[in-house]
Order: sequence, then C-alpha cells, then structure tokens
Amino acid sequence: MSARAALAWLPRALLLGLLAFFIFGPLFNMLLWAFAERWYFPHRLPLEFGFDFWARVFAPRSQALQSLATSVWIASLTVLLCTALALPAGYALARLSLPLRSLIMLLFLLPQAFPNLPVYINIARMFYTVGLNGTVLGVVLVHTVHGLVYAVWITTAAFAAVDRELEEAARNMGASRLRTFWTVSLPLAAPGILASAIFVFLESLDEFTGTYFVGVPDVTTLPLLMFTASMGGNYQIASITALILLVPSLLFMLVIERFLRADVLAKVGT
Amino acid sequence: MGEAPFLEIERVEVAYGATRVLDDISLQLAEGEFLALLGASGCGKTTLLRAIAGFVPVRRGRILVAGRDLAGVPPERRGVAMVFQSYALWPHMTVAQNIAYGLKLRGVGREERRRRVERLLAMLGLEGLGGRRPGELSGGQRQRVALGRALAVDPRVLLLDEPLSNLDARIRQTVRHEIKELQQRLGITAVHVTHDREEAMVMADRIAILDAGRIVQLGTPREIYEQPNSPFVAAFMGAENELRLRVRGEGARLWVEPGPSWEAQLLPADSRDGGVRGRPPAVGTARALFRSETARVLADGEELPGALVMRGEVRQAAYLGGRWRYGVDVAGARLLIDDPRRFEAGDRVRVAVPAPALFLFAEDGAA
Repeated sequence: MSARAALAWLPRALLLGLLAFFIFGPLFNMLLWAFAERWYFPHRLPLEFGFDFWARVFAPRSQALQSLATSVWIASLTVLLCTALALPAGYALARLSLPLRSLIMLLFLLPQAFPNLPVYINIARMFYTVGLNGTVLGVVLVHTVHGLVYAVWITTAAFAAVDRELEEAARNMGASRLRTFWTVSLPLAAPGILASAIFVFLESLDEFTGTYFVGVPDVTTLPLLMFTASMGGNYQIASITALILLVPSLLFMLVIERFLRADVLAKVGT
Repeated sequence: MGEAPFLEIERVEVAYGATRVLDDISLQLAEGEFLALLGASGCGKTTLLRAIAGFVPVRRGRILVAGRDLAGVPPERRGVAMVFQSYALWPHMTVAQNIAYGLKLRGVGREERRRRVERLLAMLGLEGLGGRRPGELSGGQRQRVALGRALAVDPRVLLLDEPLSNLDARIRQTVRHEIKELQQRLGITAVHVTHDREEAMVMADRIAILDAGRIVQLGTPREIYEQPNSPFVAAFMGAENELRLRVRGEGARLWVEPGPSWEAQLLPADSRDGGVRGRPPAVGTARALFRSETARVLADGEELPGALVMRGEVRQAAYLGGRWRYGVDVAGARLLIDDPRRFEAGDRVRVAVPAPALFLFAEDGAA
C-alpha cells in the first residue's frame, strides 16, 4: 500500500477509533471498576486488582443478592401480568383490519410520548392514596404499564404472522374458536410471545424511574441498589451489579437470534 | 339423481360491503355427486365454497345439507371438510397429527386414531411419512395430506378449493383421477372449485360455470361442452375463435349472407341433425364461435358441404405434435385453425368449419 493510500485511510481510522472509544470506553471503565481494589485520583489505572468486592456482593444475606431476588421476583410477576393482558389484546388486534389496528397501536404508544418523570410522580401520588406505594404489587403495576406497550406490539405481530387459513382449517375440522386458539394460533405465535416475555422481563429488570418513585424505600431492586451505590461513591458495587444486569440481556440476544423468525420481526408495528 | 338433494343451495347471495360477490346462486347435489364450479378468477367460485364451509356470511338465501339449514351453524359444526388451495397444513404438527386432529376433537381414542391414520396414509400412498412435518414434504405429498385430513372425519360434504393448482402439470394429471376415484369409492358428495376446464371435465359429474357471481350454465361435462348456452360458456369451453356473421333462418336451413371473406352459403340449422349449434337469431348478426381443432384447411378445389367456408391468409404456424396450429387472418380477425398439412406464412387458403362445430348466438344476447 502506498503512503498516499495509507494517508487517505487515516481520517476513517481515527473516526472509527473515536466511535469505539465512545461505545466501549464507559464499558471498559466499568469493567476496571468491577475488579479494582484501590483506585484514586491522579492514577490512570487501579492500583490494585482483586475480588474483594465480588465476595462482598455475593456474600450470603448481602443486600445485592436480596435486591437481585426482588428484581427477579418483580420481573417475573410483570411478565405474567403483561402476557396475560397482551395475549387477548394482541390476538384481537392482529385480527382487526389494518387501519383500525394501526390507530389502536398508536394509542398504546401515546403514554410513551410524555416525559415519564411527571407520569411516574402522579402514579406515585395515586398509589400513595390507595396504599400501593412501597409495595411489590405497586412496582409490578408500574412495570406492567411500561412493558405492556412492547408486549402488545410484539404479540400482535406474532399473531398477525399466523396464516388465517390455518385457523380456518382447524375450525373446518371441528374445533371451536377457543380450541383453535389453543391448538393452532398460540403454538404458532409462541416464538414471538416468548420474545415479548423476555423483552418485558429485561425491561422490568432494568427499570429505574418508576421503581424509584413507587418502590422507595421499602422495595429495593438491583438498579436502585446500583444508584445508591454510585451516589455513595461505591463504584465497585455499582459496576458489579451492572455486570450482573448485563447477563440476562446477553442471553436475550442469543435467544432472539436463534428462535425468532424474521417474518415475525418484520410485522412488528404493522 | 331421482332422490332428494343432499346439498342444496337456494338463491344464495353474498356481498362484501356494497360489492355483490354471489348473486342468486341455486344448486342441488345428490348424495355422492361430484360438482365442479368452473370460472375465471374473481367469478366468486371460491366465495361460494367458503359460504358452504361457513367462513363467509350469506346475506340472502339458504344452504342445506341433508335437509338441515346451515344458517347460524358455526364452521366447526357443519360436517363439511375443506381442502384449501394452500393446503393449510399446521406446520407445528406432524403429518399424523394433522390427519388425526379432527378425530381427536371427535373423541376417537388414541389406538383407534392411530389405526385410522395408518389406513389413510396407506390409501393415499404416504406410508412411513406420518412422523414428518409438512415442511419436509413435496407439494404432491402435502396435497394428499390435506386430502387425508379432510377425509379422516368422514365428511358429509367435501369441498375442494383448487387443490391441484399448486402441483406440477404431470402430477396434476394423475392426482385428478386419484381424487375422482377416491370420491367415488367413498361415495362422498363433493364440490370442486377450479379454473381448469379439462380438470373439471375429468373429475366432475356436473359442472356449474360461474361468471360475475352468477351460474351461467349447469350441466354434465358433455352438455356444457357440446351445447353451451352463451358465447361466454362456448369461449370458456375452448371455442375461442370468434366471427360475426349476418344470418337468416329459413326452416331447417340457415342462410349466411356474403361477407368480406366468404360467399353466401347455406348451413343446416337443426342441431339434432348435424346442424349449427347455439341459438342463432332468426334474422340479424350472429356471433359465431368454434374450436381450433374442429376447423380445417381445404385442399384446392375441395368442397365440404354443410360447412362454413371462408378465405384467409396464413400468418403464423406452430407445431402441436401430429398437427399444426395456424394463425389465419379472416376478415380482419385472427383465427386459430388446426391442420395436419404444412402451409407457409403468406399462403392463401380456404378454411372450413363443419356446421355441428359452429356455435351461433344472437348478438347482445337477444334471442
């Protein structure tokens, strides 16, 4: 390669390097913090690496493990509630004619258009009057409102991808509407519904704002713990919890890649 | 067919919004009869099938099976089984599960189900494929699984929605006969939708020709082929050459007045006695239709009494195997004429259509 060609590549290489720094820089910093025993100002790198903080996080009866359990419990309940609501809603929407369907789906999206801070503050006020503040149920409800949009959208797409003639064939063979739903529509839409469940699970696991306003101080989830830790300057604990939160997201990407059919994804939002 | 009709369709009308898809359809099928609904796409033939299956609401009229009115009866309780054009096999079930689905719903025990599925698979030549998924089968195999699924429930009426249209031409030929034979052996009443004239003739006891949501002719394949009641049916049944003639009836004979490419000539008019067919006007312009294979080219000096003879010019030729099909220009119209002898483009020839092969209808449908 001539020197000129190499020179022509330079700006591109710089740009790519900068981009990589913006994307991976913070992640790398977090990774360093997760394994740093001692790290303070003028030093560019930690003075000492180790697993002390990991031991602390994973100690039996530690606050981190307890909030992980709370997080998973809340996420599981949210998935159940969301799926129970999204199944009938998604099926009905998928079988609606197109213009009407788009309209209703758009309506579903509307709450997301508002800044969510005031929305959550008002929810917190309402929950306070009915005694839902600081309860797991209250947090689950907030997460469900948030997750339902995705759940309904993805579930609708999954059902819309099921060929209507397959359902007609079942009716024709003697199956009632309900029977057709359980034996034909639902199994065929299952991959999409699974994806929606996983998505809702992850959203709930990561959710911070709503949990903060509705759950504090009685319900502590992992993101809340992470927030308190970093506010208190305890970057090690914050980084380690962040890494724990990363695991389910990575698993989800693998599942999506393996099981989700492209035609389902293509129908999301139509 | 002296017995009471088994499947009765009485003045049925179906509409999507303001569009009337089926208009005043009436049909009666005896038990065990095979009826073909033949028509171009969009004529409403599939809609009629879906109305019988209960997927399309009937706005007016009645559909009865064995004397029972099906109005308000949901699809699952009609006792009619449909073979879909797309086959609509459930991809998440095996072949055996697909076929056994209807049996399971009817409370047939596991062992009995297995036995019946085995018997059907053997009957359809699908032995050993019960454990496969539909996605692993060829088109012909899928078609037979779809048929097997429909037959498994011992339907009172079998509905076939162009089940052969997705098959290769060669497989289609054999499957036609297979389905027909199976239907006769099992004595099932069947309604078959198709746009393929030959398929309808091979399979059906009677054919109903649909056009724009109406039945334009109903009869045995032979009746429809030999005695079409309109230019539309004649053309649909293969008489695609068309001319306009000025004619005048004269007892048992019909005068054809001289035209741009033909002399005045006299044709026999009694269709029962070797005369022209259709409904020619007493006096006036007639649409004359005929099939390519019924016409031929006359040799020099040859005369063919009782045939319509015209002068024309050969424009193109195609070899069909054993004979040639010529595009011949006659009076500004391109006619397709079959003949075993070889002619070249530009040859001036005389073309003859025997009177019994000629379908004449008054123009504008006026009798």
